[in-house]
Amino acid sequence: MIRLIRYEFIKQFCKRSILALFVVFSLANLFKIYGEYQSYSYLTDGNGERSWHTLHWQLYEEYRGKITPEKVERLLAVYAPLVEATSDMTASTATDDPNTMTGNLYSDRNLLDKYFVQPMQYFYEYSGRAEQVANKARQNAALYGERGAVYQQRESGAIYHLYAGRTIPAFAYREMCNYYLNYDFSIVPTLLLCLYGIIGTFVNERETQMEMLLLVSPGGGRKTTLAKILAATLFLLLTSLWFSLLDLVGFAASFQTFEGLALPVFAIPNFAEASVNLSIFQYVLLSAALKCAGTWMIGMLWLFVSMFWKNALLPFVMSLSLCMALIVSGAACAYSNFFWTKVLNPYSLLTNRVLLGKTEFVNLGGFPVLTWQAATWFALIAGLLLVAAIYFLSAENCHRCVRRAK
Amino acid sequence: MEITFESVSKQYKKKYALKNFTATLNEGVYGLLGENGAGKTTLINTFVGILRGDSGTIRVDGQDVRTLGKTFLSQIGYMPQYPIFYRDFTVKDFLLYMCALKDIPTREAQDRVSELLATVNLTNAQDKKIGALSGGMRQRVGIVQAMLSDPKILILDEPTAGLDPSERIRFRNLISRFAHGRTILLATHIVSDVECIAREILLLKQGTLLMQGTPAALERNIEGKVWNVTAGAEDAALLTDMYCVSNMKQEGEHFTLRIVEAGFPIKTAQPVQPNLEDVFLYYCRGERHDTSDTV
Repeated sequence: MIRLIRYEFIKQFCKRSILALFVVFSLANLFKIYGEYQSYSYLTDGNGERSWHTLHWQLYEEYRGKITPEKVERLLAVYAPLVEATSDMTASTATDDPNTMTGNLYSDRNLLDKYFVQPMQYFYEYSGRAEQVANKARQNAALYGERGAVYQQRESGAIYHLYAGRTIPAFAYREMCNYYLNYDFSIVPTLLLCLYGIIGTFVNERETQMEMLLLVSPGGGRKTTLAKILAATLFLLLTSLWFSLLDLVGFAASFQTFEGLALPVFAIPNFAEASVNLSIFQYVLLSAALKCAGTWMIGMLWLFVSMFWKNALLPFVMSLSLCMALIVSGAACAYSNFFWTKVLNPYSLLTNRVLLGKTEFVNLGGFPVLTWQAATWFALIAGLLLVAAIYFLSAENCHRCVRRAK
Repeated sequence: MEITFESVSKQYKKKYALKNFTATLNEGVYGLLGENGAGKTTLINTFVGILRGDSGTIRVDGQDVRTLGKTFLSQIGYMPQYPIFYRDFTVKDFLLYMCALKDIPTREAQDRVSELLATVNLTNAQDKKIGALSGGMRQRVGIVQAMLSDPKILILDEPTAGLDPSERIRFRNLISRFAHGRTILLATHIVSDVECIAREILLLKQGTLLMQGTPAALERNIEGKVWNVTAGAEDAALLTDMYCVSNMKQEGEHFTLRIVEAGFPIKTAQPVQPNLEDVFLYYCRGERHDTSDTV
């Protein structure tokens, strides 16, 4: 079976066209990431003595690590006079002021504000906000318990357990992680590449007349179908993992740092209400796994659609349309309160921050289940059902079927 | 090894593609001859299990093939009509893949592939992509893949379609070489493919087996029904419209026509020794024969 899977993988996916697309899409993705860095980061002003980039990393060494009152005081001691000097907007706008770090008072204030004061304030205050949410959830749970609302009581209990004890004890650079966690572009090349690779899996056998040879070979028929499914699964997972890895490496290379990966994910403003208590690095792994699950399910759907056609064009168009429909509906429902629309759409696993970035539950038999968990289970179950359908609906040698029937 | 077809039938909608096909095959080359659409491929596909027959039984050494399952599949080598294979695979990789499909262990597969490639004179092309092969080379790859498991039964569906004359002769010789110790069923509508190498011919028409016998016996069966006629251009055109002409040769201003006809077509017609092509024409395009016959 291993030999068959290996050959199926080589046959379907080790083609020049696919490898070329891999390279092109990977480069396009890297350019896009670099573009994000150039467009949104303020640290792209080179390595000059007075550049934000140089000054930021110098100051960062001073403030990184555990947030202590002494560090806060030291930061405010520099920042407060700058705020005072620039608050009435009458300070000098000269860009070569020797008494400033960057050459300009406003620039000094903005540098400290954006990269140190705001994040540190957010980190410092987050534990209090989380504690408020946890306390409110505990009170709600008690109230719902008194009124016999079992599901709501369980949901409030789950929120309490999720938020209780949340804290961000250490300060770290979070800009790279912020843009990385909010980056979606790589989903497009992942899906296009997977679609291009997957769609020919069954169709190629018909186009080359190999379907008949497979049927009359002892290892052909459903055994080959299983090998095809496993090879396709491997391809989908590898492609999805590759782009997840490329995103991380691309952002780290563009921002020239891996700093911030140890921060809890709720240290990123968009993830203040995250449904997981993980570090950003752990979140990256979970996100990659969820992307794999979503890509796999969509891939199995394409595989299923393609097995009924004699040439690749129509199933390609159909699968692409299906994919577009999932993307559009996924984007439309991303921030809606109809949580089931996210759970049932595998695309939401690809843009998984819509699931992981907010604490949302669906009611499964009276138990609150986080939307990302429900979506993952749905994708896995639906994918397995599709696999079973592909396996049992695929052609088998008539003589074998009769023998099994007997 | 004895293969027995017992009243095998296959219908598409209301039309019979194969009707009560009954025949027995032993060791040797069997030519399955018939026009396009005669039911040759349907018979082969039913035999190998690609199609499910509507009725009838196929036995190998007395055992119903439907009860043999994988054992039966490991005994057959099959070459489909117009194989394209995988264009991006090299010849060797493709054959090793086929070995994996046939459950041949890796080390044994390497030896078998090398041996068969040498037999069909393709050793030098083993690293070539299949997409870069000529039609004849691809057909040779086709027969190699069919021979990988050293099958007792070899089934070749129109193996010489699209080949030039020299490649066709080379392929025919190859089949003769592989014939020893196995049953080869070779479906074709090209008479010369099987004329010299077939032990017996099975003549199919509209899904029905018209005749089964050795080429010589089939030819004997139509002795006195093949004629040579010499005629001018106008008469030749007339005769071509009226009779089944298997050959027409121009000699100066006259034409020599080879006519397949039960009675003599014109007074000056000379009877000649029939060949298998005449038999094919006589039964498939000439008189109608609705019952099976073994010669």
